[in-house]
Amino acid sequence: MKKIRIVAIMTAVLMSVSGCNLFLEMPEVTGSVYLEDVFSNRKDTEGMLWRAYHRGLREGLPEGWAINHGTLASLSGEITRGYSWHAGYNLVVNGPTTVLDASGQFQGAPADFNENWEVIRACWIIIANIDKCPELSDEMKEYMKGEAYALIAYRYVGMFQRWGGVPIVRQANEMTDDIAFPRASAQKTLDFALEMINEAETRLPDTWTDIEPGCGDKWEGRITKGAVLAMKARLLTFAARPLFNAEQSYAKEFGMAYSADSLIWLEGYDKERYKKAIDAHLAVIEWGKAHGKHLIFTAGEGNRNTFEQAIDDYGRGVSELNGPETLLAFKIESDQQVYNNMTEGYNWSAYVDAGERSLRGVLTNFVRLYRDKDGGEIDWPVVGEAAPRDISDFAANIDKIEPRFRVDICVPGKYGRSNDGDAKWNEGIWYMGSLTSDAAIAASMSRAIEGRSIGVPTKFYYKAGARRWFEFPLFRLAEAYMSLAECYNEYGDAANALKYLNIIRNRAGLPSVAETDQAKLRELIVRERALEFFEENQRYYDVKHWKHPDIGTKILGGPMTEISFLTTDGANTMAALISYWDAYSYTGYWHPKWFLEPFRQDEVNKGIIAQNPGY
Amino acid sequence: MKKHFIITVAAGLLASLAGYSQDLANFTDALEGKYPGLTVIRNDGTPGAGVPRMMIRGIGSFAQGTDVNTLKIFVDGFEVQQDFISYLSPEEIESVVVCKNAADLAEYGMNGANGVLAITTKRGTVGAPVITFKTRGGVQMPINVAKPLNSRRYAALYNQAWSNDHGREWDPYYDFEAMNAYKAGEGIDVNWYDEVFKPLTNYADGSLSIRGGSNTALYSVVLDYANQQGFLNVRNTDRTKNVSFVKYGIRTNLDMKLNDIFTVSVDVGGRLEDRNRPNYSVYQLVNDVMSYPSNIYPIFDADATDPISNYSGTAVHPNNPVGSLSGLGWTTSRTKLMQANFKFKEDLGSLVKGLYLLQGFSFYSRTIGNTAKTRTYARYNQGVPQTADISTYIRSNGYWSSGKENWMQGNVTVGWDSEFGLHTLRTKLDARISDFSGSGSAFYNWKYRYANFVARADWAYDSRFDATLALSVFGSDAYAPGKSFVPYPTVGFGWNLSNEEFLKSSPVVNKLRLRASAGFTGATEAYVGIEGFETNGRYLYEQYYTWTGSFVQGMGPNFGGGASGIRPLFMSHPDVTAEKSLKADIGVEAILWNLLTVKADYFADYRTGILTPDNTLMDYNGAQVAYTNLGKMFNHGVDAQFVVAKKSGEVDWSVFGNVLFAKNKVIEMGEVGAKYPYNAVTGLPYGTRMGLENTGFYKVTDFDLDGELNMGLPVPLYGAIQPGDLKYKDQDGDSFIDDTDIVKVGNPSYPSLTLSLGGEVKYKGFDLSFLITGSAGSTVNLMDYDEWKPFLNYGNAFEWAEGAWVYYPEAKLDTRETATFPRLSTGQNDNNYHASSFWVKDNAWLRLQEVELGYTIPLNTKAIKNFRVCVTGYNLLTLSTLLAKYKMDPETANYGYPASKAVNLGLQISF
Repeated sequence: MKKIRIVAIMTAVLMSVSGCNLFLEMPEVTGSVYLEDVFSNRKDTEGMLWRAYHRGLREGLPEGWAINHGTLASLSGEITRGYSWHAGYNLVVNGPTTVLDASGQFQGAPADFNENWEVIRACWIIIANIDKCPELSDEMKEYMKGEAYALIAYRYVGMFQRWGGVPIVRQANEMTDDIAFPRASAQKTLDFALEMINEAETRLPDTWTDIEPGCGDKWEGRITKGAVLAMKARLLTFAARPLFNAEQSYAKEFGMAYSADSLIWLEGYDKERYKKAIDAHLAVIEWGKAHGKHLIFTAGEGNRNTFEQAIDDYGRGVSELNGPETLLAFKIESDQQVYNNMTEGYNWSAYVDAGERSLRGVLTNFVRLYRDKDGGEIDWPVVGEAAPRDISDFAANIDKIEPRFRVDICVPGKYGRSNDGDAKWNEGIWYMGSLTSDAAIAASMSRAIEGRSIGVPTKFYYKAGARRWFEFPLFRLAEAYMSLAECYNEYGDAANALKYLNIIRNRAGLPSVAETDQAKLRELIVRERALEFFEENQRYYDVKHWKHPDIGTKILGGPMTEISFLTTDGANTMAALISYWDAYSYTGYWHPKWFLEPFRQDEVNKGIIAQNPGY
Repeated sequence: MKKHFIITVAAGLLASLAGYSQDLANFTDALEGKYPGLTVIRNDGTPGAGVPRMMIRGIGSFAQGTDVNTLKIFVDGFEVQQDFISYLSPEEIESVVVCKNAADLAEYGMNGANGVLAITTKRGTVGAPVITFKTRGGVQMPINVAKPLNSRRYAALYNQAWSNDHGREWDPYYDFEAMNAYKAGEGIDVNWYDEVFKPLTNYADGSLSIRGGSNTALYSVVLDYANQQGFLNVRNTDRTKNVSFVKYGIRTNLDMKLNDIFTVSVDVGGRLEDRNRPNYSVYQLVNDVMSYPSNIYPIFDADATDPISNYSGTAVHPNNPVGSLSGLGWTTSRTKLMQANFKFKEDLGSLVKGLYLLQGFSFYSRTIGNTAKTRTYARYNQGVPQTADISTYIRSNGYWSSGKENWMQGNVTVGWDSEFGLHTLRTKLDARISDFSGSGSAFYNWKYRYANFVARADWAYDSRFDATLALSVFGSDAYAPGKSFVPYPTVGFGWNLSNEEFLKSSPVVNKLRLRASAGFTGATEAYVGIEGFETNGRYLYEQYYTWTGSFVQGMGPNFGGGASGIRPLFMSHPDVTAEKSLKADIGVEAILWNLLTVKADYFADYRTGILTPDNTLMDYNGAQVAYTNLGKMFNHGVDAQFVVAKKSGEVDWSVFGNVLFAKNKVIEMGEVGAKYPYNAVTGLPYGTRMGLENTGFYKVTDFDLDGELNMGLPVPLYGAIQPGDLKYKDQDGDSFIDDTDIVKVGNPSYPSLTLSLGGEVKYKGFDLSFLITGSAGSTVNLMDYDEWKPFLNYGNAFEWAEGAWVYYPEAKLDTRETATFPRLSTGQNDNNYHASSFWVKDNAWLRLQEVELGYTIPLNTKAIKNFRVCVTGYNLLTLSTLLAKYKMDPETANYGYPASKAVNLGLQISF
């Protein structure tokens, strides 16, 4: 009897304890999403990837990274520095810092290192879990893994350009993992990025058109094998360029004390790095030929476009949505539709009702790079001239300037060629150019209105009509041609260098060049690349990785100047314009430490990663 | 013998100290100064809104910050929210026990780390019914009144600020004519404070209690009512309401002895609370009053032709304070609270001597419903509407709820008491489950479940030695399956020296007891919030994902072609568990000369595993935040109480005092980024104020002729400076003043020392009692208050700004030698308004919290047992530099709705 009682009591106790476990193991958390939920259906699995796309591709764009409102074009001497609250405004004159600002934001450098990692983590989670999703075909799962690898690779390519060697993260680390590891060397970072690219390349499709029955071109715009090939080619180009590919690190070269050179340099010069880049770019062009991606070039290789052909080809090349020249584009976040930083804020759309866009004139420093349509130099005003020049001089210059200028920049009086006949892209643009009606200002030759200069960019909006948004081209085939010209020249093959350079020149309506001196040809390539990729976030990296000798005096650093106009009644018509002149605007910052960007100090203070030299 | 089992409970000795004379409506406020170890810091005096901050033995953990109540509250053995006890009637209360020692908290497990307030309600007693009726009524007055400057003084300062901001050339914004007009009383000059507040308001309450019972049934019934009106200068009408609080409470406690085995208790305590206010947040209204200058506009716009109303208003100052008071209608909210407890006891002594069973169930519920009558008004300036608002007539709004909470708890106990020889042994096993669910307004924070299994044995020998051994195995749903349960053991010892032979006959020492205990408890809460994921430290083991904006990835048009994005929230951690507290204490209790009762404790509390954001988590792991149990803190101190009570002849008097000193230190909080040791907050008391060290004002001679700071002076990196700005010490000598120059500049916001002194004298029917409370060791940072940032955001100026540094000889302004405030500016001044020693002020205070004079009228009737009248003053005297110099109540410590003092007349009749 007693035994039965004891057994009964023990049973009751055990039952209550196990019951209690059940009682405690049901967290009721409304509105929450678990890993199992995410990968239980196609829509949410894709949602995870879309988020990674959005966050991963927006680097360098005014979408909330450290650059905030502001563009790399402002930092690289292409356009003016914008409004005082734009991150670039102070950066461009004071240089980068490593600390958070008063509001807790990090705007001390053009990019926030920390921003990369959410994307990479999300991609690893996708790679590890996508096989659980029952609503995706096995083929689609492989494609999506490929996209995730490609996004990881894209972040590593971006980080390699900005910081050199960074930590190598091979999974979505958990708190129970060993999660404190230092930066890898630049070489290891390069190798890892290539490894990720290869993982992506083996999985991704060549085209998303009809990838699933009936889907048509619904998925056009996702990462393809071609986009990853272009990524690889860009990565290898940066690996070959002088910043990393040199006899000594830039820290040594410029006398900055630094003990971890392998983080910022590939530990020696190797000419063959150019060869690898050449092969990668050729592969991009070859792939393009097989899959409908090509340079838009009406006259065809070996011929020179007419002025009008050049306007149309170049305009379409940089503006056409999912056009034949675009390998990958950043597609605007649709929940904000047109009203986001990319368009309404400080950015690319000059479309009639400018928001924060009015202080984005093209610096005269950059305007001087354009040639006339037959390849000759143009005589622009310079600071220090005795008096403003008559407006007829301006009209003559614009009439003879090359086609790309006319597509990319809308100027008072002459307007632009991006949308012929559409007032909203021409005379209707507000705040076009630094105009003043005050003759005293003109007489003193000081600038009337800072930031508007000669005119506003209209690039990416060729024949856009009422479309105010655009898709920023991240990889455009023209890059392969320009990089081939550069790499062949550095590799010592002037003939091939000229071949690819002249394709771009001829497409732009310019005559071929035949310069074979490596140094002179290099400068021709540098200049051509600036014009072809105006506002495409290339120049900021290019001039640093070239260690261009003028970087501190004319390109990023040094005095920046802007054109101003005297006009009647503030009007921007040719009839109202009287004269124009060039005037000093600000002095850009440069210090060799800015070859690479800083890590945030609060991250460095954790004692695990080393800061880049000079910060 | 039985007493020994509660003696380890330090608080048990003198539970019924000074009765529960109650300060106005709020019961928790009345706990202030009455219990050693308990600190009560009152909140502002808004009727019905004052939930005080309560701490037991200071701050033991930084997990919830300095402003959140972390102690747990139990009423009749079941846990309740603080809202429930805030407005209990003192008539309901039998005792309040502050559980603070390891031994007191032995059974509380994860509920115990921050202490427990255990409240017991009154029950019936065997005998004829005792009926007591009490009522009070009186007036209340504000303690702290800080009025902004009038237009003339405001404009005079604005002229300085304007000139300072515009090249330091004397350039008055208000010209000579405007200033003269203000002087002559002709310009606009509205005293918003006096328009909105009245200096006096009224209070009334009453209660009726009936107690009695027989051997088989005991009953206790309490009815109570209170009505507290606010200081707003508006009448209670169909269109307008003063801020007010009205409560109706009822409690019925019944005990029924069914037979020799079964006893049943049924307790039902419920309350209705009505809160009225104008249809505008009182907090915001006070804010407006403090920030709207006197000269912005007259109350009414004479040029407006609106038939409904003609309040002034502008886009910058849209909320005319008088309009907010009278022009928007009113809202009322009703809170319904109930705790119903059912308890059963089975005395199984007939089976096994000393064996018994207990079962208890508790249902707690709180709901809030609201209604309103609202209107709005157009804002005019010189006849022109300034905003899109249009004047409307008043209309009735529907009903809406703003929350509900349900709490169900149950426990089962098996106990066995026995005595053999000189030994006494009490043992019990207890199982308890609790299920709380809230309104769901914070998604991740609305359901709490726990289970607590307790085994406990108390042993005593010969009235001399005793010991306690207890184990709580506490499980919470906050942690990963398998990690829910944590064991919390406790041991305690007691030695009654006064029962030893050598002291038994001492004429001095009537009682002397030493005791010590040590044990573990836990805490589950932590402030953890990220992007709406208000987990309160819960479910951190689970990886959650969140929806984000969508993104277009395909060919389709950008409009509507997007898909939603998903991404992981914080980084989960499977091992997250409850914060752990190891408490130890040694105490002494003594009665000497049959006059003086003393008890004192030294306590220490070592916390580990405080849930802390892991700041060392490298960002390259891709998660914004991860919380881990890495925090550590140490808190120790003493608390003590003395009571002297004596009856000599017809004079019956007593005096008591309480003191608590507690000091903590952060040992580990994952701090990263301190460049120098003196920048670090680790190693200092939690919440220590950090800032720059002020070294006076910049002098005119600190600048060169171009206004540039002289070479050699450290350059502050908080924006441009000029003479009269605050100057700081360059701690690291790097020639820059920046955040690496931050040092400790003051104590935390909570006190380290809490004191009270009370007493009572009775003589021939008269009685006089008092209670003085005080605290020290806390500070305020004046930069927490916009009242100290003149003109900021089109704001106001107060009298302290008149001490500003100014030097305009042409305007005969020169305070270079006498300034008490930095030079004025019209906007934000990052240099001057940076946290610094200049703005951190010590807050030590003493207050005559209560003084009461009563007279019991002798009546020659048996029908009336007691008839007493009294007059009571609350908070009549406050000694505080904060109040005297900065016009802040030292407890409330803000410029919001004022704290109040009061005088009441009371009447008390027992039948």
